[in-house]
Amino acid sequence: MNGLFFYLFGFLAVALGLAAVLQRNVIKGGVALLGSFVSLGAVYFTSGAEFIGIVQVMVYGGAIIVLYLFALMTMDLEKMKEEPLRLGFVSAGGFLAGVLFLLIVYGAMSLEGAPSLTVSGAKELASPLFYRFLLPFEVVSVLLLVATIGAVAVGRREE
Amino acid sequence: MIEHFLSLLFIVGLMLVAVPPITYLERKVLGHMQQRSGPMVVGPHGVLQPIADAIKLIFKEDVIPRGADKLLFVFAPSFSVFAALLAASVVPIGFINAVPMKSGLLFVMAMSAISIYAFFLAGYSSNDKYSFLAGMRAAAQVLGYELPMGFALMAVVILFGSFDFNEIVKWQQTHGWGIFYQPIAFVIFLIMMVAEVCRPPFDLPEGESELVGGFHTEYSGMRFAAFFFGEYINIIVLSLVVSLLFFGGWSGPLADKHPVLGVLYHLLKAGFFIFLTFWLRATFPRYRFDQMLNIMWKIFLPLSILNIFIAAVEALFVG
Repeated sequence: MNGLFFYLFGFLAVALGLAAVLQRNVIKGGVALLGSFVSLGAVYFTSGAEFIGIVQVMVYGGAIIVLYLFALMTMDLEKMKEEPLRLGFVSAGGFLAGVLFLLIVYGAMSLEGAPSLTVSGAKELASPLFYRFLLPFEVVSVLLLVATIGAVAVGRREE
Repeated sequence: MIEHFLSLLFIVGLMLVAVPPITYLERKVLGHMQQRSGPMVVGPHGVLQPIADAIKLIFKEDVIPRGADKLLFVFAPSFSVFAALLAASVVPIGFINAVPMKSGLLFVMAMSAISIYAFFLAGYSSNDKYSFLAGMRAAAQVLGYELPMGFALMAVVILFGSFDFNEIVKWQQTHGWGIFYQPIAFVIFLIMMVAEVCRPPFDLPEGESELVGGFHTEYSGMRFAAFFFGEYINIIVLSLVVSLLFFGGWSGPLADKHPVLGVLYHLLKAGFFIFLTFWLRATFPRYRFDQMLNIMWKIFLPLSILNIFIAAVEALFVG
Protein backbone atom coordinates (compact mmCIF):
# COMPACT_ATOMS: atom_id res chain seq x y z
CA MET A 1 0.00 0.00 0.00
CA ASN A 2 2.75 2.42 1.02
CA GLY A 3 4.71 1.48 -2.07
CA LEU A 4 1.78 2.32 -4.32
CA PHE A 5 1.38 5.76 -2.76
CA PHE A 6 5.16 6.29 -2.89
CA TYR A 7 5.18 5.86 -6.69
CA LEU A 8 1.90 7.75 -7.13
CA PHE A 9 3.16 10.84 -5.29
CA GLY A 10 6.63 10.49 -6.80
CA PHE A 11 5.06 10.57 -10.27
CA LEU A 12 2.87 13.53 -9.26
CA ALA A 13 5.88 15.44 -7.93
CA VAL A 14 7.77 15.00 -11.22
CA ALA A 15 4.74 15.71 -13.42
CA LEU A 16 3.81 18.87 -11.53
CA GLY A 17 7.45 19.95 -11.47
CA LEU A 18 7.47 19.66 -15.28
CA ALA A 19 4.21 21.59 -15.45
CA ALA A 20 5.76 24.33 -13.29
CA VAL A 21 8.59 24.77 -15.81
CA LEU A 22 6.55 24.45 -19.00
CA GLN A 23 3.57 26.56 -17.95
CA ARG A 24 3.57 29.97 -19.65
CA ASN A 25 1.35 31.54 -17.00
CA VAL A 26 3.69 32.10 -14.06
CA ILE A 27 0.99 32.04 -11.38
CA LYS A 28 -0.23 28.67 -12.63
CA GLY A 29 3.40 27.59 -12.72
CA GLY A 30 3.71 28.62 -9.08
CA VAL A 31 0.64 26.59 -8.17
CA ALA A 32 2.05 23.58 -10.00
CA LEU A 33 5.29 24.03 -8.05
CA LEU A 34 3.25 24.08 -4.84
CA GLY A 35 1.61 20.81 -5.88
CA SER A 36 5.04 19.36 -6.62
CA PHE A 37 6.35 20.34 -3.17
CA VAL A 38 3.30 18.95 -1.39
CA SER A 39 3.60 15.66 -3.33
CA LEU A 40 7.26 15.53 -2.35
CA GLY A 41 6.13 15.90 1.28
CA ALA A 42 3.76 12.99 0.72
CA VAL A 43 6.66 10.94 -0.68
CA TYR A 44 8.53 11.53 2.60
CA PHE A 45 5.40 10.43 4.45
CA THR A 46 5.11 7.16 2.57
CA SER A 47 8.76 6.35 3.23
CA GLY A 48 8.27 6.81 6.98
CA ALA A 49 9.85 10.24 7.46
CA GLU A 50 6.77 11.93 8.87
CA PHE A 51 8.49 14.94 10.42
CA ILE A 52 10.48 15.87 7.32
CA GLY A 53 7.38 15.46 5.18
CA ILE A 54 5.41 17.91 7.30
CA VAL A 55 8.26 20.41 7.43
CA GLN A 56 8.58 20.15 3.65
CA VAL A 57 4.90 21.07 3.22
CA MET A 58 5.07 23.83 5.82
CA VAL A 59 8.29 25.55 4.76
CA TYR A 60 8.15 25.14 0.98
CA GLY A 61 4.39 24.94 0.55
CA GLY A 62 3.42 27.37 3.25
CA ALA A 63 6.09 30.04 3.20
CA ILE A 64 8.27 29.98 0.09
CA ILE A 65 5.56 29.62 -2.57
CA VAL A 66 3.52 32.37 -0.86
CA LEU A 67 6.54 34.65 -1.23
CA TYR A 68 7.02 33.64 -4.88
CA LEU A 69 3.39 34.23 -5.76
CA PHE A 70 3.30 37.47 -3.79
CA ALA A 71 6.30 38.78 -5.71
CA LEU A 72 4.96 37.52 -9.05
CA MET A 73 1.59 39.17 -8.55
CA THR A 74 3.17 42.58 -8.07
CA MET A 75 4.79 42.32 -11.53
CA ASP A 76 3.23 43.05 -14.87
CA LEU A 77 2.46 39.55 -16.07
CA GLU A 78 1.16 40.59 -19.51
CA LYS A 79 4.53 42.12 -20.32
CA MET A 80 6.35 38.98 -19.25
CA LYS A 81 4.26 36.86 -21.60
CA GLU A 82 5.52 38.77 -24.63
CA GLU A 83 9.14 38.37 -23.60
CA PRO A 84 10.84 36.24 -26.29
CA LEU A 85 12.95 33.23 -25.38
CA ARG A 86 16.63 34.15 -25.51
CA LEU A 87 19.09 31.54 -26.70
CA GLY A 88 21.69 32.55 -24.11
CA PHE A 89 19.36 32.09 -21.16
CA VAL A 90 17.97 28.81 -22.44
CA SER A 91 21.39 27.30 -23.12
CA ALA A 92 22.83 28.48 -19.77
CA GLY A 93 19.84 27.09 -17.91
CA GLY A 94 20.03 23.85 -19.86
CA PHE A 95 23.74 23.50 -19.12
CA LEU A 96 23.21 24.07 -15.36
CA ALA A 97 20.27 21.65 -15.30
CA GLY A 98 22.39 19.04 -17.08
CA VAL A 99 25.24 19.41 -14.57
CA LEU A 100 22.78 19.15 -11.68
CA PHE A 101 21.19 16.06 -13.21
CA LEU A 102 24.58 14.38 -13.60
CA LEU A 103 25.44 15.22 -9.99
CA ILE A 104 22.19 13.65 -8.78
CA VAL A 105 22.74 10.54 -10.88
CA TYR A 106 26.29 10.29 -9.53
CA GLY A 107 24.96 10.62 -5.97
CA ALA A 108 22.32 7.97 -6.58
CA MET A 109 24.93 5.60 -8.06
CA SER A 110 27.19 5.94 -5.04
CA LEU A 111 24.34 5.10 -2.64
CA GLU A 112 24.77 1.67 -1.15
CA GLY A 113 21.32 0.12 -1.28
CA ALA A 114 18.09 1.85 -0.33
CA PRO A 115 18.21 4.02 2.80
CA SER A 116 16.65 2.22 5.75
CA LEU A 117 13.06 3.20 6.37
CA THR A 118 13.04 4.02 10.05
CA VAL A 119 10.25 6.22 11.31
CA SER A 120 11.85 9.57 11.92
CA GLY A 121 10.39 12.09 14.29
CA ALA A 122 11.77 15.41 15.49
CA LYS A 123 14.07 13.80 18.07
CA GLU A 124 15.73 11.39 15.65
CA LEU A 125 16.41 14.28 13.32
CA ALA A 126 17.53 16.79 15.93
CA SER A 127 20.09 14.78 17.87
CA PRO A 128 22.49 14.08 14.98
CA LEU A 129 21.99 17.67 13.80
CA PHE A 130 22.98 19.18 17.14
CA TYR A 131 25.66 16.69 18.17
CA ARG A 132 27.32 14.86 15.30
CA PHE A 133 26.89 17.48 12.58
CA LEU A 134 26.97 20.58 14.78
CA LEU A 135 29.74 22.39 12.91
CA PRO A 136 28.28 22.04 9.37
CA PHE A 137 24.89 22.98 10.80
CA GLU A 138 26.26 26.16 12.37
CA VAL A 139 28.20 27.04 9.21
CA VAL A 140 25.01 26.77 7.17
CA SER A 141 23.13 28.96 9.63
CA VAL A 142 25.86 31.62 9.44
CA LEU A 143 25.63 31.44 5.65
CA LEU A 144 21.88 32.06 5.83
CA LEU A 145 22.44 34.97 8.21
CA VAL A 146 24.97 36.49 5.81
CA ALA A 147 22.49 36.10 2.96
CA THR A 148 19.73 37.78 4.99
CA ILE A 149 21.88 40.74 5.99
CA GLY A 150 23.13 41.03 2.43
CA ALA A 151 19.58 41.06 1.10
CA VAL A 152 18.58 43.78 3.55
CA ALA A 153 21.67 45.84 2.65
CA VAL A 154 21.03 45.54 -1.09
CA GLY A 155 17.29 46.04 -0.83
CA ARG A 156 17.43 49.12 1.36
CA ARG A 157 16.92 52.44 -0.34
CA GLU A 158 19.62 55.07 -0.08
CA GLU A 159 18.61 57.60 2.51
CA MET B 1 -8.38 -0.14 11.54
CA ILE B 2 -12.20 -0.05 11.62
CA GLU B 3 -11.91 2.07 14.76
CA HIS B 4 -9.82 4.66 12.95
CA PHE B 5 -12.20 4.66 10.03
CA LEU B 6 -15.23 5.23 12.27
CA SER B 7 -13.40 8.01 14.12
CA LEU B 8 -12.54 9.66 10.84
CA LEU B 9 -16.16 9.41 9.73
CA PHE B 10 -17.29 10.91 13.04
CA ILE B 11 -14.85 13.83 12.89
CA VAL B 12 -15.54 14.71 9.26
CA GLY B 13 -19.27 14.34 9.87
CA LEU B 14 -19.09 16.50 12.98
CA MET B 15 -17.18 19.23 11.15
CA LEU B 16 -19.64 19.35 8.28
CA VAL B 17 -22.77 19.11 10.44
CA ALA B 18 -21.57 21.66 13.00
CA VAL B 19 -21.09 24.49 10.50
CA PRO B 20 -24.74 25.49 9.81
CA PRO B 21 -25.71 25.69 13.52
CA ILE B 22 -22.55 27.68 14.21
CA THR B 23 -23.44 30.23 11.55
CA TYR B 24 -26.89 30.54 13.16
CA LEU B 25 -25.41 30.93 16.64
CA GLU B 26 -22.97 33.52 15.35
CA ARG B 27 -25.73 35.65 13.92
CA LYS B 28 -27.78 35.31 17.11
CA VAL B 29 -24.83 36.17 19.37
CA LEU B 30 -23.83 39.11 17.20
CA GLY B 31 -27.43 40.30 17.17
CA HIS B 32 -27.85 40.23 20.90
CA MET B 33 -24.48 41.88 21.48
CA GLN B 34 -25.59 44.72 19.21
CA GLN B 35 -29.05 44.98 20.83
CA ARG B 36 -30.87 43.33 17.93
CA SER B 37 -32.64 39.99 17.76
CA GLY B 38 -30.72 38.41 14.88
CA PRO B 39 -32.60 36.03 12.55
CA MET B 40 -36.21 35.67 13.77
CA VAL B 41 -38.38 34.86 10.76
CA VAL B 42 -37.74 31.22 9.71
CA GLY B 43 -38.93 28.89 12.47
CA PRO B 44 -39.15 29.73 16.17
CA HIS B 45 -36.44 32.32 16.94
CA GLY B 46 -35.12 31.72 13.44
CA VAL B 47 -33.64 28.27 14.19
CA LEU B 48 -34.41 27.05 10.69
CA GLN B 49 -32.49 29.94 9.12
CA PRO B 50 -29.38 27.81 8.30
CA ILE B 51 -31.59 25.38 6.35
CA ALA B 52 -33.12 28.23 4.41
CA ASP B 53 -29.62 29.58 3.73
CA ALA B 54 -28.45 26.16 2.54
CA ILE B 55 -31.40 25.81 0.15
CA LYS B 56 -30.75 29.28 -1.21
CA LEU B 57 -27.04 28.60 -1.72
CA ILE B 58 -27.65 25.24 -3.41
CA PHE B 59 -30.14 26.63 -5.92
CA LYS B 60 -28.29 29.84 -6.67
CA GLU B 61 -26.81 30.18 -10.14
CA ASP B 62 -23.14 29.37 -10.24
CA VAL B 63 -21.40 32.19 -12.07
CA ILE B 64 -17.88 32.09 -13.47
CA PRO B 65 -16.96 35.63 -14.54
CA ARG B 66 -15.66 36.29 -18.04
CA GLY B 67 -11.89 36.56 -18.12
CA ALA B 68 -11.48 34.50 -14.96
CA ASP B 69 -8.87 31.79 -14.80
CA LYS B 70 -11.39 28.92 -14.91
CA LEU B 71 -9.22 26.13 -13.55
CA LEU B 72 -7.99 28.04 -10.51
CA PHE B 73 -11.39 29.67 -9.98
CA VAL B 74 -13.05 26.27 -9.61
CA PHE B 75 -10.14 24.79 -7.69
CA ALA B 76 -9.78 27.47 -4.99
CA PRO B 77 -12.96 26.95 -2.87
CA SER B 78 -12.60 23.18 -2.73
CA PHE B 79 -9.00 23.67 -1.65
CA SER B 80 -10.25 25.63 1.35
CA VAL B 81 -12.51 22.80 2.57
CA PHE B 82 -9.94 20.13 1.70
CA ALA B 83 -7.13 21.64 3.77
CA ALA B 84 -9.43 22.32 6.71
CA LEU B 85 -10.75 18.74 6.77
CA LEU B 86 -7.22 17.31 6.49
CA ALA B 87 -6.22 19.36 9.55
CA ALA B 88 -9.36 18.19 11.38
CA SER B 89 -8.56 14.53 10.74
CA VAL B 90 -5.44 14.49 12.95
CA VAL B 91 -6.90 16.35 15.95
CA PRO B 92 -8.13 13.95 18.61
CA ILE B 93 -11.42 14.74 20.37
CA GLY B 94 -11.33 12.88 23.66
CA PHE B 95 -10.72 9.21 22.86
CA ILE B 96 -11.79 9.71 19.24
CA ASN B 97 -8.52 9.85 17.35
CA ALA B 98 -8.82 9.22 13.64
CA VAL B 99 -5.17 9.51 12.59
CA PRO B 100 -2.79 9.15 15.54
CA MET B 101 0.32 11.00 14.45
CA LYS B 102 3.61 11.65 16.19
CA SER B 103 3.80 15.14 14.71
CA GLY B 104 0.09 15.96 14.83
CA LEU B 105 0.50 19.56 15.97
CA LEU B 106 2.95 20.26 13.17
CA PHE B 107 0.58 18.70 10.64
CA VAL B 108 -2.22 21.04 11.69
CA MET B 109 0.19 23.95 11.30
CA ALA B 110 1.20 22.80 7.81
CA MET B 111 -2.39 22.39 6.67
CA SER B 112 -3.38 25.79 7.98
CA ALA B 113 -0.33 27.26 6.26
CA ILE B 114 -1.45 25.96 2.86
CA SER B 115 -5.13 26.76 3.42
CA ILE B 116 -4.35 30.42 2.71
CA TYR B 117 -3.85 29.51 -0.97
CA ALA B 118 -7.62 29.21 -1.26
CA PHE B 119 -7.98 32.95 -0.59
CA PHE B 120 -4.95 33.81 -2.61
CA LEU B 121 -5.91 31.83 -5.71
CA ALA B 122 -9.54 32.92 -5.49
CA GLY B 123 -8.35 36.52 -5.40
CA TYR B 124 -6.06 36.04 -8.37
CA SER B 125 -8.33 33.94 -10.58
CA SER B 126 -11.45 36.13 -10.23
CA ASN B 127 -10.00 38.75 -12.59
CA ASP B 128 -11.38 41.50 -10.39
CA LYS B 129 -9.50 44.37 -8.79
CA TYR B 130 -11.10 43.98 -5.36
CA SER B 131 -10.46 40.26 -5.27
CA PHE B 132 -6.91 40.78 -6.47
CA LEU B 133 -6.18 43.24 -3.66
CA ALA B 134 -7.72 40.79 -1.20
CA GLY B 135 -5.44 38.04 -2.50
CA MET B 136 -2.40 40.25 -1.95
CA ARG B 137 -3.60 41.06 1.55
CA ALA B 138 -4.10 37.37 2.32
CA ALA B 139 -0.53 36.63 1.23
CA ALA B 140 0.89 39.46 3.34
CA GLN B 141 -1.20 38.36 6.29
CA VAL B 142 0.03 34.78 6.13
CA LEU B 143 3.62 36.02 6.19
CA GLY B 144 2.72 38.14 9.21
CA TYR B 145 1.02 35.60 11.45
CA GLU B 146 2.85 32.44 10.49
CA LEU B 147 6.09 33.30 12.31
CA PRO B 148 4.71 34.44 15.70
CA MET B 149 2.30 31.50 15.66
CA GLY B 150 5.08 29.05 14.90
CA PHE B 151 7.33 30.47 17.60
CA ALA B 152 4.50 30.47 20.16
CA LEU B 153 3.86 26.81 19.38
CA MET B 154 7.57 26.02 19.56
CA ALA B 155 7.66 27.39 23.12
CA VAL B 156 4.77 25.12 24.05
CA VAL B 157 6.39 22.14 22.37
CA ILE B 158 9.67 22.75 24.22
CA LEU B 159 7.73 22.65 27.48
CA PHE B 160 5.68 19.53 26.66
CA GLY B 161 8.51 17.79 24.86
CA SER B 162 6.27 16.41 22.13
CA PHE B 163 4.28 17.21 18.98
CA ASP B 164 1.83 14.43 19.78
CA PHE B 165 -1.56 15.66 21.00
CA ASN B 166 -2.04 12.61 23.25
CA GLU B 167 1.36 13.16 24.88
CA ILE B 168 0.59 16.85 25.35
CA VAL B 169 -2.65 16.11 27.21
CA LYS B 170 -0.91 13.42 29.27
CA TRP B 171 1.75 15.95 30.32
CA GLN B 172 -0.94 18.37 31.42
CA GLN B 173 -2.79 15.70 33.39
CA THR B 174 0.28 15.29 35.59
CA HIS B 175 1.60 18.88 35.66
CA GLY B 176 -1.48 21.09 35.31
CA TRP B 177 -2.87 23.09 32.42
CA GLY B 178 -0.51 24.64 29.91
CA ILE B 179 -1.88 28.16 30.31
CA PHE B 180 -0.40 28.40 33.83
CA TYR B 181 3.04 27.78 32.37
CA GLN B 182 2.74 29.62 29.07
CA PRO B 183 0.31 32.56 29.30
CA ILE B 184 2.23 34.58 26.70
CA ALA B 185 2.17 31.74 24.19
CA PHE B 186 -1.57 31.40 24.80
CA VAL B 187 -2.30 35.06 24.11
CA ILE B 188 -0.11 35.10 21.00
CA PHE B 189 -1.59 31.86 19.70
CA LEU B 190 -5.13 33.08 20.27
CA ILE B 191 -4.55 36.31 18.36
CA MET B 192 -2.70 34.54 15.53
CA MET B 193 -5.51 32.02 15.34
CA VAL B 194 -8.00 34.81 14.69
CA ALA B 195 -5.65 36.21 12.04
CA GLU B 196 -5.28 32.78 10.51
CA VAL B 197 -8.98 32.17 9.97
CA CYS B 198 -9.35 35.78 8.75
CA ARG B 199 -11.98 36.73 11.29
CA PRO B 200 -12.49 40.26 12.58
CA PRO B 201 -10.45 42.19 13.65
CA PHE B 202 -8.11 40.53 11.12
CA ASP B 203 -10.59 40.03 8.28
CA LEU B 204 -8.51 42.10 5.87
CA PRO B 205 -8.87 39.74 2.90
CA GLU B 206 -12.66 40.01 3.19
CA GLY B 207 -12.95 43.66 4.21
CA GLU B 208 -16.62 44.15 3.33
CA SER B 209 -16.52 47.92 3.73
CA GLU B 210 -13.55 48.54 1.46
CA LEU B 211 -13.19 45.49 -0.82
CA VAL B 212 -16.88 44.59 -1.35
CA GLY B 213 -16.39 40.94 -0.37
CA GLY B 214 -12.67 40.58 -0.90
CA PHE B 215 -11.58 37.26 -2.34
CA HIS B 216 -15.14 35.92 -2.63
CA THR B 217 -16.63 38.94 -4.40
CA GLU B 218 -17.10 36.98 -7.63
CA TYR B 219 -18.23 33.72 -6.08
CA SER B 220 -21.82 32.59 -5.73
CA GLY B 221 -23.81 29.52 -4.79
CA MET B 222 -22.03 26.44 -3.48
CA ARG B 223 -18.56 27.70 -4.31
CA PHE B 224 -19.20 30.65 -2.02
CA ALA B 225 -20.53 28.24 0.62
CA ALA B 226 -17.36 26.15 0.32
CA PHE B 227 -15.28 29.11 1.48
CA PHE B 228 -17.52 29.46 4.50
CA PHE B 229 -17.28 25.76 5.29
CA GLY B 230 -13.50 25.99 5.12
CA GLU B 231 -13.42 29.05 7.35
CA TYR B 232 -15.72 27.63 10.02
CA ILE B 233 -14.07 24.20 10.02
CA ASN B 234 -10.76 26.00 10.53
CA ILE B 235 -12.24 27.86 13.49
CA ILE B 236 -13.48 24.60 15.04
CA VAL B 237 -10.14 22.85 14.48
CA LEU B 238 -8.08 25.68 15.93
CA SER B 239 -10.43 26.00 18.91
CA LEU B 240 -9.96 22.30 19.57
CA VAL B 241 -6.19 22.77 19.31
CA VAL B 242 -6.16 25.73 21.73
CA SER B 243 -8.12 23.78 24.33
CA LEU B 244 -5.76 20.84 23.80
CA LEU B 245 -2.60 22.87 24.22
CA PHE B 246 -3.53 25.21 27.05
CA PHE B 247 -6.59 23.84 28.82
CA GLY B 248 -5.89 20.14 29.18
CA GLY B 249 -8.03 18.97 26.27
CA TRP B 250 -10.31 16.18 27.46
CA SER B 251 -9.04 16.11 31.05
CA GLY B 252 -11.53 17.07 33.73
CA PRO B 253 -13.39 15.58 36.69
CA LEU B 254 -14.39 11.92 36.14
CA ALA B 255 -13.08 12.02 32.57
CA ASP B 256 -10.65 9.12 33.11
CA LYS B 257 -13.52 6.82 34.16
CA HIS B 258 -16.03 7.92 31.52
CA PRO B 259 -14.26 8.74 28.25
CA VAL B 260 -17.49 10.16 26.81
CA LEU B 261 -17.34 12.92 29.43
CA GLY B 262 -13.85 13.73 28.15
CA VAL B 263 -15.22 14.26 24.65
CA LEU B 264 -17.87 16.56 26.11
CA TYR B 265 -15.32 18.56 28.11
CA HIS B 266 -13.15 18.97 25.06
CA LEU B 267 -16.04 20.13 22.89
CA LEU B 268 -17.21 22.56 25.60
CA LYS B 269 -13.74 24.07 25.95
CA ALA B 270 -13.52 24.42 22.19
CA GLY B 271 -17.02 25.89 22.16
CA PHE B 272 -15.87 28.72 24.37
CA PHE B 273 -13.17 29.70 21.87
CA ILE B 274 -15.64 29.54 19.01
CA PHE B 275 -17.83 31.90 21.03
CA LEU B 276 -14.78 34.10 21.60
CA THR B 277 -14.38 34.62 17.85
CA PHE B 278 -17.99 35.88 17.69
CA TRP B 279 -17.31 38.10 20.65
CA LEU B 280 -14.21 39.60 19.03
CA ARG B 281 -16.17 40.19 15.85
CA ALA B 282 -18.81 42.15 17.73
CA THR B 283 -16.29 44.14 19.75
CA PHE B 284 -13.34 45.24 17.64
CA PRO B 285 -13.11 47.27 14.45
CA ARG B 286 -10.95 45.94 11.65
CA TYR B 287 -7.23 46.65 11.71
CA ARG B 288 -5.78 48.75 8.96
CA PHE B 289 -3.33 46.89 6.73
CA ASP B 290 -0.20 48.68 7.99
CA GLN B 291 -1.36 48.41 11.60
CA MET B 292 -1.80 44.67 11.18
CA LEU B 293 1.71 44.25 9.72
CA ASN B 294 3.17 46.50 12.42
CA ILE B 295 1.81 44.57 15.38
CA MET B 296 2.64 41.22 13.80
CA TRP B 297 6.25 41.99 12.93
CA LYS B 298 7.21 44.53 15.57
CA ILE B 299 5.38 43.31 18.68
CA PHE B 300 4.32 39.69 18.44
CA LEU B 301 7.37 38.33 16.63
CA PRO B 302 9.96 39.61 19.19
CA LEU B 303 7.61 38.69 22.04
CA SER B 304 7.20 35.15 20.80
CA ILE B 305 10.98 34.72 20.38
CA LEU B 306 11.49 36.00 23.92
CA ASN B 307 8.88 33.55 25.10
CA ILE B 308 10.93 30.63 23.77
CA PHE B 309 13.63 31.47 26.33
CA ILE B 310 11.01 31.52 29.10
CA ALA B 311 9.78 28.13 27.93
CA ALA B 312 13.34 26.75 27.92
CA VAL B 313 13.88 27.87 31.53
CA GLU B 314 10.55 26.33 32.52
CA ALA B 315 11.38 23.10 30.76
CA LEU B 316 14.65 22.95 32.72
CA PHE B 317 12.83 23.24 36.05
CA VAL B 318 9.62 21.34 35.37
CA GLY B 319 10.83 18.87 32.74
